[in-house]
Amino acid sequence: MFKKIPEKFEKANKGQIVLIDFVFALSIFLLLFGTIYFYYLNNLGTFESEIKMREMRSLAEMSLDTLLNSKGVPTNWSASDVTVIGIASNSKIINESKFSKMQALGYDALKQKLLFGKYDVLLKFKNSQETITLGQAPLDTNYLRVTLTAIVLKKGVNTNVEFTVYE
Amino acid sequence: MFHSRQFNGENMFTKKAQVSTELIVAVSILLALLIVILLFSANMRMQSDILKEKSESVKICYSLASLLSKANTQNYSVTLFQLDKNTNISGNVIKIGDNSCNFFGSLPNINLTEGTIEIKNKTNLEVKNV
Repeated sequence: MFKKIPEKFEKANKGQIVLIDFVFALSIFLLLFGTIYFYYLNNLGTFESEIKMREMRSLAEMSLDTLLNSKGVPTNWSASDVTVIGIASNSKIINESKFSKMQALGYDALKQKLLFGKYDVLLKFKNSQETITLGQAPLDTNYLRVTLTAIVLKKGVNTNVEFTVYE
Repeated sequence: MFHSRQFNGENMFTKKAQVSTELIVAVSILLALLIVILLFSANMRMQSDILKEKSESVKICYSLASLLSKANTQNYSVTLFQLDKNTNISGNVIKIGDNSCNFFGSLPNINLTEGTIEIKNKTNLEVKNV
């Protein structure tokens, strides 16, 4: 009447079905979990970069503001005693003597005094008569960079200032 | 006609109490996965909190640094600032929690508590809680 299935085959088959289902479910779960975790890590990296960029922008704004709107510290600074570089005689009017002193500073000193040595810097002054570049140009691989612009009076001429901070 | 196992009461009872190997393996794997998920989740939350804290600290730090730099280099006489976290200033370094930033100037070691602070530069740069 009943065809008896040998006990060991019956058990083995049942176990296999459960195992295949389980492995399938586990694979889908791991795939989903992995995908979610991958996207999370990716977003975390983006968030970290954003914080870094915000930090660079804040420092660049503070530095450019101090450079173009202050006389520096001490007021009559020289390369040997400068603690803060400021090249303005009045707000956004460049003092040529201080500008020359800034040009004479080496790259490391410029980077240290403008950005506390944290990032690299490129400073460009451009008007109808001249283009003066200080610092080092970023490479294509320097993805994290912030560029700020301002207009100042240099020798009585409107001059565009481009201040690039990069890592 | 009857299988001998079905009538062996002792044996049947013993079989009922047993749990299949598959179930044990499945439950073990699920428990292991649960632990892994909990660990990942805790780690994610910790990293996220650290970044959020850092983001806030950076914002406060540079707002304060900017004001101190202006006060020091452009002779802002008095200005008030709402500080959202306890802060330490020493030399040209502002420290908020584990994060720090620099400003253009220098101050002796000062601990500021959250609340309103006053930044003065009449003769020298000064900062204090008000």
